[in-house]
Amino acid sequence: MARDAGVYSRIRSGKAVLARAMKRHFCFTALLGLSAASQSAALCAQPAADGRRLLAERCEVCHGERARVSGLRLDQRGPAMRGGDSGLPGIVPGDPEASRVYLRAAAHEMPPGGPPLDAGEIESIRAWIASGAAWDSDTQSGPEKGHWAFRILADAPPPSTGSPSNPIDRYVAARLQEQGLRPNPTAEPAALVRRLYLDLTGLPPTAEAVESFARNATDEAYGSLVDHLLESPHFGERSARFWLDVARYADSAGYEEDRPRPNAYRYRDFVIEAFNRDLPYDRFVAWQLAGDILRPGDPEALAATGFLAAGPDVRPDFVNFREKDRLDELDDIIATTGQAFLGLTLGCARCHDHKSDPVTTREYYQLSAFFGSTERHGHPWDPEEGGRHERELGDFNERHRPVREALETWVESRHEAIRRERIEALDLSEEQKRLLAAPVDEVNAAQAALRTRFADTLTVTDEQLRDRLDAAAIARWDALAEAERQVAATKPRDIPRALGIREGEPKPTWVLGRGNPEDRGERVSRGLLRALSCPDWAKRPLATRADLAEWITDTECGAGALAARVLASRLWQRHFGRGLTETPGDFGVRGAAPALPGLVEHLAGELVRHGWRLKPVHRLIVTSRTYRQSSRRNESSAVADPGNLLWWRRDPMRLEAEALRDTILSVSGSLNRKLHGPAVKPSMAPEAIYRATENYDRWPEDVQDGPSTWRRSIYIFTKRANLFPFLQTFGTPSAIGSCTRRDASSGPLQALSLMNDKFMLEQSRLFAERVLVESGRQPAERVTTAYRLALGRPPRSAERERAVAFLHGQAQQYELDLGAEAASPSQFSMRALTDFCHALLASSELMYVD
Amino acid sequence: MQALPWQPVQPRPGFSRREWLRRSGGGAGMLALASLLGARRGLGSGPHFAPKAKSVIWCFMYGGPSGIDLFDRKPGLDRSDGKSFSGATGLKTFSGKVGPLMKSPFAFAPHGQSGREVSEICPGIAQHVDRIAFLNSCHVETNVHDQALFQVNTGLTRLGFPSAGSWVTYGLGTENENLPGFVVMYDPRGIPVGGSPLWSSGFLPRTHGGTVFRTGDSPVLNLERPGILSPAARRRQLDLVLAMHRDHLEERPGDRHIAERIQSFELAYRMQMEAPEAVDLTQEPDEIRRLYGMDVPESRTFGAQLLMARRLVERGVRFVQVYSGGINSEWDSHSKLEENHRARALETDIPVAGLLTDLGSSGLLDETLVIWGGEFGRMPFTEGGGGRDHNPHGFLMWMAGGGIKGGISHGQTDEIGFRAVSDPVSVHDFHATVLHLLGIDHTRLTYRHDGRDFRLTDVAGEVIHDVLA
Repeated sequence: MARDAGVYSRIRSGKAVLARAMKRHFCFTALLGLSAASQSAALCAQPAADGRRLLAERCEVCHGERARVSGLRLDQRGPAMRGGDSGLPGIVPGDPEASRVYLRAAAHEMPPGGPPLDAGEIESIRAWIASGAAWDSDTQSGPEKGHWAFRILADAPPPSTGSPSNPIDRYVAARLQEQGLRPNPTAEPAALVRRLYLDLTGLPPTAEAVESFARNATDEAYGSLVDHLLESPHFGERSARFWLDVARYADSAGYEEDRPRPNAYRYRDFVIEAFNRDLPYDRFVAWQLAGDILRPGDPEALAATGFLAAGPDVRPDFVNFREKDRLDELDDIIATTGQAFLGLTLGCARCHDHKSDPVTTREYYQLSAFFGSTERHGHPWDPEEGGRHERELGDFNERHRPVREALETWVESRHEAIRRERIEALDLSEEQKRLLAAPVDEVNAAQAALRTRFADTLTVTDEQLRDRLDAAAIARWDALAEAERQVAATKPRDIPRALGIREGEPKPTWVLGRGNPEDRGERVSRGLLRALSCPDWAKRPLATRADLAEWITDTECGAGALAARVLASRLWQRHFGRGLTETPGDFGVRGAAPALPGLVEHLAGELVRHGWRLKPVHRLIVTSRTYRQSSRRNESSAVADPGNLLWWRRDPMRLEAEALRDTILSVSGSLNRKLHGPAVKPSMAPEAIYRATENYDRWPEDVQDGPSTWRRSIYIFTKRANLFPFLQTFGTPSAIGSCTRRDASSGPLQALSLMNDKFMLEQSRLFAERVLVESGRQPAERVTTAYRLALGRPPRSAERERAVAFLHGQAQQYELDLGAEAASPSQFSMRALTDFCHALLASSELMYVD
Repeated sequence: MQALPWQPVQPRPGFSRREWLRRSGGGAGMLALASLLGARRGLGSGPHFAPKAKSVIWCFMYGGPSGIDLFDRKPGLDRSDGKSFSGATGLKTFSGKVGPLMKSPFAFAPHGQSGREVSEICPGIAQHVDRIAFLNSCHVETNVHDQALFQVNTGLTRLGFPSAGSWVTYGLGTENENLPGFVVMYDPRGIPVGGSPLWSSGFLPRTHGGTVFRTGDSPVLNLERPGILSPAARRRQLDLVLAMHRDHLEERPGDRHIAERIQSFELAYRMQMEAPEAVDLTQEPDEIRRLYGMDVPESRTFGAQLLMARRLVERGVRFVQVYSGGINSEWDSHSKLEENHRARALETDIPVAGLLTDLGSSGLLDETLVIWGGEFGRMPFTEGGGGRDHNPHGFLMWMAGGGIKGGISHGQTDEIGFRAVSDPVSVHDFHATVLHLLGIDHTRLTYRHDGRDFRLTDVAGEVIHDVLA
């Protein structure tokens, strides 16, 4: 980190303020609002461009890692000094006049395309060379091009170590061997089946499925189980949850009113379907960023743009700080896009160049220009119906306008007469009366003050008007009003829609000083990150968001290599609980480097080689020995690699909030497996329901849980200001920004939920009823059935004895507490069974997957 | 009838804590784990310097109380009463209405040795002016409630960042593991707009998020044992759960997460024991309840909440926020300011004064920082009638207690109270000062998230040294 800072201050300028900013190493960008910006203006100031930076920005497009026109590359110090094909030195530190780079620039020969360098810039290059041409780093490569995640994909064969046929295992085995470690043996069949089911579908296996596999635990049987589960519709539900975290998906807008978004769920359903059908990731990206442009007639592609609409909605109808709010929303879009697809913290560049990654403020605003004119829009779900609805609405407006205008004109002319009379009667100067009566003039403060003071005078109520009219006039008024009402009643009802975005009025984009909307600098058009582009992209006109999407997954010439690495690491994270790097939210220069770089390259390459289809890579991962390892600790490995960074075992994983709830529903037999559809609101404890304002969209209080709410948790309404408590307690994200890694901590509130939440009590009862139906009458039989249902295994004999003793003792306890006459013995034993089932649902074994 | 009123789960007679620990997974190991959990705080080696305060009680007047009608008398405004406002170019009001300037409808009188003038509607707090440092010149960046609430709580107008209470508990850890470190109580009439993100831990670990406490028998959601279960029946069930946990852990020795889960059940059990007791106000003598205004219907709720706050702080809770004001009953007096503020003051003045008296007489005030304020203030002009619009440009908050120099006044607004003109106090300055009093250098309490080191005070904030004792 200290080294980064030093490097950075050399790249930029040596100003003291900047050095201070470096030391603090903060990103202020996304944070600063208006006046706070001024306090840290010095810190946020644009660093003066210097020679090295100019080279990077203006020359490397053609003379960089990928292009090397005329054999010259200026992204590294050694090659830059050597020069290109001409044989003349490119840069001679300390001697600009001997440096061809300076001479060509000073002669205005370079760069040949794009705006020429101005005199100041040429002088910067001269001064920089004269002062020794300090480079980003004393080794060969600068942080930008040298950073592992930004390079083009390496295409090296997996190590040939040992025998494993799965390339993943070869990478892992090679590193383990280096460290003198051995991978764990394969997990027990029962553990493996449970792991695979919960991992791929988020639902536990039945005891039958466990036992059937255990009887024939061959590689073939395992392989076909994998195939079976990858084809399950629950696979898409499970996979979608991870993406929805990253996409900060919610069903409400957040902020003060936290308005519901009843059509947002189409995006969630699109994501589920995309994973189920294995939509290639490049299309998955493209539809989310530009489905409305690429496939305007395809409702799913339109729904996919819900990605861009999913962020919190600051306040669309509020004039106060509208431009700042709009920019905050744009920032949310850029930050989420950067995070989701590129694993980069682009938001950092909002008011200063990124501190560590090659993202300039200018590039930030160039990226924002892609979204500058987007607006939220409810796309008709059925395009035909949409067209019809639009026509009908047009017809309606045609019919409605005349009757509405007739009514308004009639009323307004009478209001006006009354107002004039009243103004006349006021004790005011003629000029004041004239001002009051005049049409509203936005900038006339005197008029505004008068209008505020005499607001009552200017307001005519229906009653006041009615009092002044004769019978005939009232009849006329009523007739006009009735005519309007009749037509208004024929307004076509709205149609099903999908919340997404569309292009609105084009809006210009400026580079803003310190992110301040009032401090406009250079006006910019759409642009991409240079550090992740080759010259082809610099030359291409960038017309729409579709170009941005194409660039993101362009592995040859754009950001595709990075996108593939991020995706590979995400897939790994989903299966192993941790990604291939320790910082899933930051693949930039300051993010952690992967412990197994070759594996990242290989999996990223596999994604691309499979045409961006995900299921083949899922399959490759879950059929690896590495995945199938036992989760048991091996003391010698644990000493050598306590963090399991080299994957010598499988980490035990806690079920996420949703998988936990879904598992409980599944065990009790109450899970409603219906796919898709509008979000549902299960019963919430009344004391947990928020009421902020009178018209606040409150969670309903009178919900009776049943099959319609016993849906999988991905279908629960995500209300930003009032998250569903059970899920929130177990770590569901707040859906405010992109979440790349969940908080897996436990705490007393989780234990309280497990023991006392009404949901747990109800599910325990249903589970006990299921046990009664599915087992024999003996307590030991019931215990066995309950264990098999909850944990996929029969109890060991000690467990069974303990449970039977509990059932007996607990029934006696109830009899003691309530009195023998309060209920029948079978009712007491049913209560005891419920408490036992509850204990199983709250057990560590249910919650942790080996 | 089995729906028993709240009773904490009692250990069986003769069932000691040691015994419980042994049964729930191995005494010494558990205790070691407990200390391990305690050590996991942001400032591993404790505060940066000797703290003046150990805990914070923040009386949050939601909706925007009018400083110029409560604690900041403006003679200049009296003189300009009825004149039109011509003070600002590019003025952005919330309501869009700019009426004439309006003097305070309330009479002010000087109090204490400091002679601070206080409005007639705050006779209680007026008795404490010599304990209070008034910050007359606070400002925020927005005049919209939710965004200003976010800013005052998290430093930023956007939602999604950790609240000050979360930063503090993250930094300092807890003094009592049986209770949450950061407790929030809101007005039963309604939650402040913006909702739970106001006390969210943001990107900090979620254990540092605010826990909502309600008045009544079951202060925390799901704290209450299901009525059907007697304490003994629950005890038996819990023993079974713990036995199952223990078996699970025994097969997976050294797995920290599973061990922590057992620990979490222990904490939950202790919270069930301690939290209801902590908020059981029937244990308080009548004179204390009266001191907090609990004998007056209007102030009963807020008084009870502040008394709960005192009891929580006594038991080691680090940060307590109590919101006054709910739907239509908040301090947001766009019209009828006089009526509104009289009602709000009636609800809160005696309780706040009682809190200061109570903390003062027990000595707890020396280590408890008491904060009073809202998300912004109110304009010196009306909206045409008798109300005032939101004022983010200059408003008043105050602090008292641990480490605060009493009887002083910091910063000023202009002579009518429109804008902070001398020693303006930004939210970052305010937060920096709160952290300072707790022994934290605000520039050194950081958290790495997505490649960035975040602070409560972003890149700004200066401690207000004027107000330090």
